Amino acid sequence: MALSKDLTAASAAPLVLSLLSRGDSYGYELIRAVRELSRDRIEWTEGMLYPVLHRMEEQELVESYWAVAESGRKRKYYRITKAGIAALRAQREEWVAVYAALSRAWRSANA
Amino acid sequence: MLDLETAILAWRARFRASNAFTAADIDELEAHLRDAIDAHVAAGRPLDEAFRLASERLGDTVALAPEFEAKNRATAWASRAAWSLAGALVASPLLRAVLGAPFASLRLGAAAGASDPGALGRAAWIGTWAAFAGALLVVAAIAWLLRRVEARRGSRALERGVFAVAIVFALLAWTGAFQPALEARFPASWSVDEMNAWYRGVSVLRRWEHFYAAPLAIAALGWALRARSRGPRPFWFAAGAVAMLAFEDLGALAYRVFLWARYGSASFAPDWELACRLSGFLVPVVGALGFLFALRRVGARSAWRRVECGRWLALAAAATSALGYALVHAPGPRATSGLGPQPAWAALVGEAIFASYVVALVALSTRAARAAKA
Repeated sequence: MALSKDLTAASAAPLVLSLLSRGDSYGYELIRAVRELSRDRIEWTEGMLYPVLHRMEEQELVESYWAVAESGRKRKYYRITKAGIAALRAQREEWVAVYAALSRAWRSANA
Repeated sequence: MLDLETAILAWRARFRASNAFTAADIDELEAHLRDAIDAHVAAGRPLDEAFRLASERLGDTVALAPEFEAKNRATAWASRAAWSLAGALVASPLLRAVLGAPFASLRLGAAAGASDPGALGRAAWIGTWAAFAGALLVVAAIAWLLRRVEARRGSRALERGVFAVAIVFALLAWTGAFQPALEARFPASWSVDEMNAWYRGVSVLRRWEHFYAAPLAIAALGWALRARSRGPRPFWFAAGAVAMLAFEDLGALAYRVFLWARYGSASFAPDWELACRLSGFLVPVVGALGFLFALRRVGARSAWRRVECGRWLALAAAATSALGYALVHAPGPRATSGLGPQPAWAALVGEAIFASYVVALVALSTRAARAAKA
C-alpha cells in the first residue's frame, strides 16, 4: 500500500534531511534510497522532490553544488547545513512524539 | 537506433518552452533523466525503450510545471513580459512600414515629378502592398532562420535569437518614428479634392490595408512559432505582436465609430487625423495590456494555451478586419472635411468607445476561461 499524498508531502522534508545527514546526495539517488528504506511504500515523484529540495535550499536547510561524478556526468548534489541538522533534530522529536502518541492510543484501544 | 543526444535536446526544448522552469532546473532534470536511462539500460532494455520509460516516469512539462511554477513565479512573469515585449517590438516597425508606405510612395512619386493625385494614389496602393508583402517575407525569413538555429543549437539559441531580432526591430521602430518620409501628410498645396482623388487612386482598400493585413500577419507569426516550439513562450510572443497589430487598428477604429455616429461618415477626416495621433501612443499600450489580460484568462489552462490560443488570436484579428471593412464601407459620404478642429470631448468619446472594446474583450475571455474550466 502506498502512502497517502498528505503524509508523503509532510514526511518529505524530514526524510530528505535524514538521508542527507548520512552523506551528500542528488535527486535520483534520494528517490531510490527512499524507495528502498520504505520497502517500496514511499514512491516520490520528481515533480514533488525537486521543488521541495529547492525550497529547503531557499530556507538554507540544505545547500547545493554541481560536481562531476565518476561516470563523468555533471550532477547537482545537496548537502545538509547546520540549520538543517537543527531542523532535523526538532522534526525528529515531533515525529517521535506523534508515533508514541499513536502507539499508546492503539494499545489502549486494543486492550 | 535512437540518437540519445538529439532526443534529449528535443526533450529539453519542451521544458524550455514552458515558463515554469529555470535553466538550472532543466539541467538538474536532465541529469536525473540520464541516470534513469542508465539504470534501464543496465537492466538490459534497449536505448529507445529506456529513453521512453525514463522520460515518461519523470513526467512531462504539464505534470511537472505547477510545482516548479509556484517556486519560479517571479521569473515566470518576467519571462512572459519579456516575450510579449519582444512580440510587440517585432510587430511595431512592420506595422509602421505598412502604415507609412502609402505616404512614402506619395513622396517618392512627387519627387519623381508626378503630380496627378489619382496616379500617385495607384502608385501608393502598389507601394503599400509591396511593403506588406515585404514585411511578411521578412517575418517568414527570420522565422525560418530561427527555426534552423533551434534545430541545430537548441532552444536557448532560439531564445537569444528572438531577443536579438526584437532589439534590432526596436531600433528600426525608433528610427522609423523620426522618418518624415513615413508621416501621414499630404503636400501642403493640395486641396481636399486632390486628397480625395488620391484616396480614390489608393482605391477600395482606402488605406486601411492593415485591417486586412492583421490576420495574414498573424497567420505568418503563427506559422513561424507554432510548428516546433509549442508552449507559453511563443504564445506570449504572439500575444505581444497581436496586441500591437490589433490595437493599432482598434484605436483607429474607435475614432471611425465616433465619426460615423456623429457625422454619418467613417471616412477620413484630414484635419482630425493628427489630433487622433496624440493619443495614438496611449491607446495601443492600454489596449495591449487589456488584450494581454484577456489572453491570459483564456490561456490560463495549458491545453488552451497550446492549441486554442492560435485560433482565438486569428478569430480576434478576423473580427477586427470585419469591423474595419464594415466601417470603411459604411453608408455616408466618402470623404469628410470641414469638420473644424477636433473638440476635446471627441477624443474622450473615442477613448470611451475604445475602452468598451477592452472591457468587452476581458469579459468575453473571462467567460470563455470559466467555460473551459467547467
